[in-house]
Amino acid sequence: MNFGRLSLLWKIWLSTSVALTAVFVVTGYFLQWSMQDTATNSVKQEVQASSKAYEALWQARAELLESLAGLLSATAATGNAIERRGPEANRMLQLLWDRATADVIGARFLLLTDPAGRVITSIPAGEVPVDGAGLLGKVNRRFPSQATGYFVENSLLHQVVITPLYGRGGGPLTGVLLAGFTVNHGVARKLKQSTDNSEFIFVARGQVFASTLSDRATGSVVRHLIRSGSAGLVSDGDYEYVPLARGLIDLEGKPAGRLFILRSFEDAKQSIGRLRRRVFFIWEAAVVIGLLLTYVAAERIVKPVKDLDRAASEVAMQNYDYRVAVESDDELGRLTSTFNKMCESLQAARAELIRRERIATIGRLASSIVHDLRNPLAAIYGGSEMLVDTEPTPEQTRRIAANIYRSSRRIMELLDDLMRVTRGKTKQVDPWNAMELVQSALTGLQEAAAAQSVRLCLDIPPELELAADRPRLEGVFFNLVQNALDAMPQGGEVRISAGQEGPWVNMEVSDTGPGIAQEIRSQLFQPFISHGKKNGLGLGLALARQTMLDHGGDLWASSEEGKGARFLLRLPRPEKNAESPEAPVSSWVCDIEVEVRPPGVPPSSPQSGR
Amino acid sequence: MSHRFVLIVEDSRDLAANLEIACAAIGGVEIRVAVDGEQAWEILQQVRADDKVVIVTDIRLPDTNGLDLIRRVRQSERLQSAPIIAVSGDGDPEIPKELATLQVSAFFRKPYSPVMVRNHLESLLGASGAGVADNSQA
Repeated sequence: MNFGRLSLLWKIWLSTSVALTAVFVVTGYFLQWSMQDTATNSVKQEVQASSKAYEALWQARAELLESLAGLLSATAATGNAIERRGPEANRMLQLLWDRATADVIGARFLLLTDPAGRVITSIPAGEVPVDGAGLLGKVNRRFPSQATGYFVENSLLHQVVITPLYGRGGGPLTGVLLAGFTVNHGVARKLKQSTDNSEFIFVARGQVFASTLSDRATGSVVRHLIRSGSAGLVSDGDYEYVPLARGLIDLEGKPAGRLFILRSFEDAKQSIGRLRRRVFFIWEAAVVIGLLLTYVAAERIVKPVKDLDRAASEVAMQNYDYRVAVESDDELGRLTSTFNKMCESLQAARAELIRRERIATIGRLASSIVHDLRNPLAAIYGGSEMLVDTEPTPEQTRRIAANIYRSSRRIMELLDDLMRVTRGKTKQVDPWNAMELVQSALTGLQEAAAAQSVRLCLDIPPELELAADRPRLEGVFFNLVQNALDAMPQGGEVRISAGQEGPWVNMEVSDTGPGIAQEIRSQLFQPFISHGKKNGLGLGLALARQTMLDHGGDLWASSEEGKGARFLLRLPRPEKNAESPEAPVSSWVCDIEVEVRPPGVPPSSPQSGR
Repeated sequence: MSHRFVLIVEDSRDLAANLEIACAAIGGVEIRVAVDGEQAWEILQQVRADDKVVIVTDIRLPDTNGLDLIRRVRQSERLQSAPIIAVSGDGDPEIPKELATLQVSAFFRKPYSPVMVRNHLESLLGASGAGVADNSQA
């Protein structure tokens, strides 16, 4: 797209939209960036809080097991159970355990073993999910301290608290309590509930033991976390999370696995999406409002430019009376008033030129009259002298008399031409059909045109009417076409077109001849200047122009040398024609036939000389 | 016997006719009329060396300037001494001066008397001496 070819209004619109869009893109990008930053930080804080909540929960659970173990070690039931290993003692232990761990989620278990790790009793009864002796072997060095930690056994992840039991009064080790539970999906879900929907994944030995996410999501999150660490966001393919990793410690204090706590970023993403949509909507509204405001402003800016444009084309058509109203005090206002002043100067300069031209015309007129009158006058003078002073033969007398007659006729013709220049005003203006008038004007030229193979083409709407003093206007067309014929001895085409435009009827006479030479163009319409023609006063175009001016119209030339001559004629529209619609489809007539002249219309008088 | 003739170069038919009628009174002279410079030159080409010719020419001609025609005549070997009478309707004061340098015998300003032109012609046909006489005031 070529920017230069757009109208001013479009250019202003385009600039406004581009500027607004740029502002919104920058602002929107910044807003989104800062919102994302804020949201990420807030989710990170949430995941930290979840981690702390998990820690507290775990702590509380360990403490519970610890205190329970302490309590059990101190009860007689435990002692009895160790000593007697009877079902009675087992029931007591069961009762205590159930009461104490009623609110602990997960598959919990309690083992009571002797110091060697042999199971004395277990809750639930008979099911022993852990190898008591193996565990004791890892922790008994640290007795009498409690030991706590994670371990994997039978493809399950467990957390366990191991408490040594001593006899009354600091006696020897009598038994060991192993209290624990299996970390499974239920535990993870419970953690999720108590931390306001944080996701938990327990991983040990490269295997997931508990997760609040679906298997697929868990797999992809864990792969990503193990590969890239827990910095930044992690995605399960559908949603994004802010992750936090914690280590799981086994009974010996070594790493046993990892716990990943995830906080969904989805809410933040939705807020950012909402923000983006809002920014987009506001951008759209701003562009629409901006364009409307710009349109209002641009109309005010562009209007004087359009006015100036119109005025300049009027001036180009030599209408120097046109003025543009000054509506503002800005650059355009100043340009407008400068333009008006320029028109005034042009008008003044033109008036001065016309005045000088008139003086020069009078001078040329005088010398032209003197010269053109001298020949016939000399013939009359000499002839009459001979008639008086010599004795010519009757034959000679007749010849001399004929000379005198012809010469005085010539003087009369010259005076008639002169009168036509000075007479001015047109007598009677009537509406005439344009096509008919032009055809009638060209009747006398048909033969000449055919003889030098010039085509005459008329492009005139059939209904078009001209308000004209018919013989004079016919003379104008006759003169213009005759000039065109003179310019095209080798053949060509003369085209006469006409149409209505506003209050005017515009006509054009163009030919395919050599055009009007630059050096004579400025003097084209001045009387008594003939260019390269032997006979005549050089009045043809001057008279034609005067005729158009007398009709309230104008005649001017528009020609480029080598491209044929173009004469543009303008007449006011006939009054009764004023309401009729615009010119209908024009009709084409080429090589017009000779028209029979309507009775009462005198033949147009040929006027010669360009 | 040498042939005597008068060449009238004038684009106005009426003026040429008047001069022709006036000159008809001179006996033994052939009168030829040319309407422009080219035609005049063609006629002059037919002049034989022993012919006596007098030229009467207008200064303003359709195809050329009378002064140019006179210069052409003066440059021609056969015609350089031919007597010439110039006539003109032009008021340009330079023309008589220019004519003097071209040894034109007489200059008549329009409107002129054909009879006076005839009288001058008669004297020129009698004698062959050159010399400018400005009869425009006559």
